[in-house]
Amino acid sequence: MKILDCHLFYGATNNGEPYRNCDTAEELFAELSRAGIDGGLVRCAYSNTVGVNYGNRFLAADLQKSGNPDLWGVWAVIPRFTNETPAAADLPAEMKKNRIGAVYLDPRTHRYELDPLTMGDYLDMAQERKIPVILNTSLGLSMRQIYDVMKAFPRLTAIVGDSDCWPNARRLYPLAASYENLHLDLSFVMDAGGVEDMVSRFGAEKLLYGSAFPARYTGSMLAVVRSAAISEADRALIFGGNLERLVKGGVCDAE
Amino acid sequence: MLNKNSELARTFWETGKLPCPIYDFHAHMDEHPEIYFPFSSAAEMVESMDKNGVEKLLFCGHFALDDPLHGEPYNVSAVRQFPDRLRAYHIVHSRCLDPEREIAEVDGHPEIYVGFKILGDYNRFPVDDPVHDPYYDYLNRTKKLLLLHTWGGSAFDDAKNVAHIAERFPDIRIICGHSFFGRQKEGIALTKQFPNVYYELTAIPIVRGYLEDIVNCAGSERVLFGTDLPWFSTMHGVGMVLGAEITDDDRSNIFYRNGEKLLEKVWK
Repeated sequence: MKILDCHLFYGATNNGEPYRNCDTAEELFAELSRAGIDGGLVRCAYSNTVGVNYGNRFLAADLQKSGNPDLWGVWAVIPRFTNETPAAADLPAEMKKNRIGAVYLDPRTHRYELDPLTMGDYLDMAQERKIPVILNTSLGLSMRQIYDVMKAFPRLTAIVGDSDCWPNARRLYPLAASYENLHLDLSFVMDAGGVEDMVSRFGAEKLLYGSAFPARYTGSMLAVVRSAAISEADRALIFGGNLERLVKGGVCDAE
Repeated sequence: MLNKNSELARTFWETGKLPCPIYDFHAHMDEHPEIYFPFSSAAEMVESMDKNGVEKLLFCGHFALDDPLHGEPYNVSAVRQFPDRLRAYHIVHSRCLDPEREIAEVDGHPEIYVGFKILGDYNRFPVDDPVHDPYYDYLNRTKKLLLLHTWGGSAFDDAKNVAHIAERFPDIRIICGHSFFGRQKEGIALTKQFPNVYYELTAIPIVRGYLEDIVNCAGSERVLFGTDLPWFSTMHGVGMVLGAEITDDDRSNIFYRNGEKLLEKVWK
């Protein structure tokens, strides 16, 4: 069974984060190997802490070095009006060239108003091209903003997560129930019985294994999904099948 | 495989189960206004224990935590339903005390209670305040358990509060729930000198590296497994212990060896 983690990042930081950091791509690859994780979606923290293009370039170079066909990158995108990142029309080709499987939005760190006015061209394009967009409260979005993005772009292929450590079904379930292409990143879903409950309500196709490594332990959600009382077919989807389908349905496998 | 350096992790990955029992020292029960739980009744909790290999579970239900007048009987009824699997901590509401009655309830029902639980942060009341002394006197005499919610930086239940209790009542088995979360290293440094202080793991999985801090500072012989069930998945905590950079010997101490020893005298 292939295991793909939808929520990985790396990059040295001096921000005093409480968790044990993962400074380099090599450390990340070593952890994946130790935990038996085949690949997944990874972003470089430098896109938030140093510079958007700096981090995006850094990630592309590290992905090329890795040679792992199951590891794809996640780039930050910012509003087009300052011409700092590729325009929406050019982005898919750039992503494909650099093995970038998804994009993320962090309006708090990158200091913009998340609105169709600012990000509409990227979100329109992502919706049409089925490029996964990461919407996660651990990346500077509020749940209100996530709800607003989904309302404005209801066919968006979204990977949604809420990093509040308390169980958050009352906030996440309405989204999962309402939007066909919305998927839940399980990195922060430590609720007892949560995986079984979500599979029974929404189907396993909507759920993605994720660890939020290095902020959290890779082992925690591996154990939760490994032991969940669900079918082996559903387990395989959550562990890797769904993420592979999403990434390959976007630009990484497109002609 | 979860952790290629661990035989326990390998067995778990192959079979979906641990080859050893688990003792969970920190759980709740029943509904809570802020949270949706897929399951939370005593019967459902025991079903979850069966599925995950949890042999014994110590809890204080939400009704007792949040209703000082009517909640405690729910704890009693749950233990009576599953006497081989469950024991309760009797809650102490620091602003609503009745020591004579509450101590009599614990003392008169060793088949129900293993001791008391106090949540300083939630009561907004220091756990080492002398109003608790009658309870602590009793626990000190009987060597029963005291589960404290402990949080780094709290004015009510940080390490200095716990050290103050441990110094005055050296025979109480004090379980530091959440292990002074966020200031675990400083908290353990201040309390480790007291041999009856233990460190418990609920909430610890949310920050990578905290478990290693706790085991390195306290030694795994002082660490107890706990989950806050039905809040957090047993397997989420199990996965942290299996995946963390500690030894299989440490893991066995945490999952069951320490718990077995601690419960020897109080699980009647």
